[in-house]
Amino acid sequence: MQTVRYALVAGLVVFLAVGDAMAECEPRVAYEMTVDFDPGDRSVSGRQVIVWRNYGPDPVQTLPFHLYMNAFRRADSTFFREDRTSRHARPFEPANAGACRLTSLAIDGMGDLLDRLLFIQPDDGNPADETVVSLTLPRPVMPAESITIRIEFETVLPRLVARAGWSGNFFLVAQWYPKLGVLEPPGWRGALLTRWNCHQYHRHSEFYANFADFEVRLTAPAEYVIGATGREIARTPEPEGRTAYVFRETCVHDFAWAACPDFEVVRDTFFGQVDVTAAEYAAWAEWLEMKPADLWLPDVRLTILMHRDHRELADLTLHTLKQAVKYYGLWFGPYPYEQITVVDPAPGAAAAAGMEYPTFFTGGSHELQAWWPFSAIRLETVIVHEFGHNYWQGMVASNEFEEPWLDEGINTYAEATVNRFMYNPGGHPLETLSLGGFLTSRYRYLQRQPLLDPVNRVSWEYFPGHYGVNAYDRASLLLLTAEPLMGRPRFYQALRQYFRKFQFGHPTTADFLQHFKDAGNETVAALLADVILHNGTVDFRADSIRVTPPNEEGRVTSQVAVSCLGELRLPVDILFCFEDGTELRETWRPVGDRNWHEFEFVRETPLAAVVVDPEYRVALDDCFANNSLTRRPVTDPVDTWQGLVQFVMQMLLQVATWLA
Amino acid sequence: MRSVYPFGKLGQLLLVLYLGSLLFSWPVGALFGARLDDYAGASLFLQRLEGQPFDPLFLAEFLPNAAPLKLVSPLLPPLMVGYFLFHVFFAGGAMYSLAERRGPFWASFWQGFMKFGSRFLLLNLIFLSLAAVTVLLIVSLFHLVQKMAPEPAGDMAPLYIALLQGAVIFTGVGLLQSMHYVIRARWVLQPRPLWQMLRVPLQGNARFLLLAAVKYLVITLLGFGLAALVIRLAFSLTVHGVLLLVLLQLAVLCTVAGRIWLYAEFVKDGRRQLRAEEERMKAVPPAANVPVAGGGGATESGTDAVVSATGGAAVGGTPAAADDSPVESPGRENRPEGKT
Repeated sequence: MQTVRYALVAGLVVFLAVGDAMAECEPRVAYEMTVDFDPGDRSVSGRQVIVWRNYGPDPVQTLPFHLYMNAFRRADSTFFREDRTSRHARPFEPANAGACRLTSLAIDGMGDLLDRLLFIQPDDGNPADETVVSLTLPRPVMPAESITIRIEFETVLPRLVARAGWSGNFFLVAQWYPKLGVLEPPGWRGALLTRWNCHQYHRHSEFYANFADFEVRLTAPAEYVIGATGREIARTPEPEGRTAYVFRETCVHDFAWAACPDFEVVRDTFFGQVDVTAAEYAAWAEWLEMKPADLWLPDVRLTILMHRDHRELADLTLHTLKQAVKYYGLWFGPYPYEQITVVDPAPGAAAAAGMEYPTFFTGGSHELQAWWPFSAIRLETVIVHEFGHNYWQGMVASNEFEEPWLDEGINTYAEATVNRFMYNPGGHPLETLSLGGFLTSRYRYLQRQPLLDPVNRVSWEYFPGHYGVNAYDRASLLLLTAEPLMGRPRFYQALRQYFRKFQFGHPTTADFLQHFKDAGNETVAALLADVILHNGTVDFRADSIRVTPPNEEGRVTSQVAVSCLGELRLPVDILFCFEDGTELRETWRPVGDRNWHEFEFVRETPLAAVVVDPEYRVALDDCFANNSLTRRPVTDPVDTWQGLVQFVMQMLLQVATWLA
Repeated sequence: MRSVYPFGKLGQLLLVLYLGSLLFSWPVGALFGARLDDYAGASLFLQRLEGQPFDPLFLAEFLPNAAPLKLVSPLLPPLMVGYFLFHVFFAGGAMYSLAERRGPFWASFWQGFMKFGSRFLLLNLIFLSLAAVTVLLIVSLFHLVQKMAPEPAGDMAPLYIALLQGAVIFTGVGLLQSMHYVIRARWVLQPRPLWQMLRVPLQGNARFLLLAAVKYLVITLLGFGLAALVIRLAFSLTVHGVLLLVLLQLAVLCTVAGRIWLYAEFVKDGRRQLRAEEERMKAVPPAANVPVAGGGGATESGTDAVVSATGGAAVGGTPAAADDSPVESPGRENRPEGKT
């Protein structure tokens, strides 16, 4: 035990020493692209120059590229195969298929290499999948050597099925260019030998790439409004009614853009010294145990491309975006880019809604959201979540294919918490309801019971239909459960430090768990590991209340049994309410193989009720309804619900007799 | 002018139909309540409902597990079919008793329930098939048009199309239903073989048919609208407990009352139509082989049946000849046509 204690102290010292240090960004590759956009053909064609340096210790003989639009080329691609396992399978339309074709490929000093390309399927061996192509080089690229790859390509965009494509005159152009895989030298993400990490395009995952510098010269019809990753540094008229745009960004792992003639551009600026008050800086500084000056946020230019049908929602979008920039910035660290662009997908383009790309993301509004009851479906949730991905996956660039929870789970937790800051700062997390957030996560978590996987899985290997609940919801509830165990300020600090430590890096689940182990809270570290790696569950229950008749002194004995099912061993508060109005609070933690405990009270008044976890802090609890028990049943709520069910039944009967 | 139907008769029918609705829904509510009591009746968790009948936390906790709902949901289809059948048979009793003015009210109701219930069911099945074909045609048509149409013009376009489709379906089926009700009303007034009855809506004038359809649609919409209003109130006002239940029952009662009124209106309209036909028949000399009254046989003119069903209304100044069997008189349609 002594050893453990020393280890914990040592860990804490290391943890604090890491402090608020931020990792430096080191772009591994540079893309320069010149492309023409033809909305008539729904195609983007052009050329790209990729400069890549072998940053590993070993010579590299092959280069893999993503050609992700080929996922929409055939009905039996891996994307469509996986999609067919879902209840909401999307049809493949050959007439509206997508594709990414290379028309030439050369490397300076190695000549034309187009014939050396070979489609590979590293994930599932599906020969019909053409989303990854491998180039065998005529000679290896030596360590520290740079090569210049020149590619000409044509991308045909699919009719929107998922994420990227067109709908009417709206285009979301993502995963549209040949993109290099990630070289993982020994030590990177647990690699023992140098390897390439280049996954196929999957139903649920598309992100993992090196940080890179991008400069894209894009020519499009002048009537189209264009928004893209990064800063627009030039815009010039071109012959034949076209306009050329140049976008540039450094240290991002992807480049996406959108085009539509019906966009209305709304611009504003987030001012770090205006949109955040001194009191907010002070409060966060106190929480994070930092100086307010260390939290100051830089200004960020905000651009919203709002579809004209949704223009009345522009102000709300802008307001939400500012809130998101503020709270993510205060919590995890400043948004380091100068620009953020939000695209509002056109009507009919819902498949493009809620997609995240670096410094650029799509929202998802609907005209109906101005009206009850649809106004309850808040677009804020999507805006906050997708902006949050600039942090979780955009900057902490974990591998979405292999460990999807690392970005979706942490970001869902962050999004729900930011919504709480925005709308319900003093309330209980589970009461931030209409904003989605934790209640939505909890609903989905309960709906999918039992869960057959741990939180962490390769995205296409979850039990069918259980990807979302594990990667998003359960992970979010797990962090919400860990929060009070560690203490909210300490937990926020730990998450901030994790972000700063791995900003512009590619951490793994092991890194995350080690970070929280170093934070020195054994219970939290065990909880995270048990759920993320081992599918741990928990269900606290109030089992029985027994009261004996008064003894000679007029005192009664109240005996209460509580239990805990599942593998997780968490401490929990128990509230005992006596008939005279007094309350008593105790903490219980199941130990070893004994999953229950009996409390006994000898008092003048008997126990009236017991509540296990009265504040619903164990958000992972399988059922809250069995957490409390009253000695005498409370019938009113049951009667109310019985009446409601009876009424609903009556109305259903009346509806059925419309045809009678 | 005195109402043809005393409120008491309609009130009693309303009560029966409402009690029928309760009879079919009450056991489900009770079963659900008992199960909910087992599930969380002694839990403080349920007390969150106080003042928040649609507490989202409760719903989030309760719906996914939904142990009580899972128990009662299998009962839903058989109960709906059961209530549907009850409703059709009730319509037989209600319409017949509204048409029949002599004898004890509930005796004629029961007779109509037993006799016309099965006939109405047969008629209903025929019209349900027609309704199914109509819906299929409308849906196919909309599907075809949607496929031909370009990209949606706005967020609301799919919604408007769906609403338009719903309205067309509702109107089409409503029109069919009103034809169906016209037949029902005429059948209890002037019993004839089914195949002859099917021609009745085609013989009536279009104005009457459209008016009937409008009444049917209005009543139906009113019922649904009221229910929606009450549900909306329940959401916004945090009304709960007894008051909520009373409001909801009022909505159901209004729906039921509308239905009874509709039955009465159709019977009244049917009688008016028959009287008009009768007036027309006066101008035409009776054929030699057609009995004018009291022959006890079903006739094409229907005069005989009108006499019995209206309980002594004069035909050409002659008192009704069926006074000796007032309740049974509408049942004479079972005799083969043309035989006396």
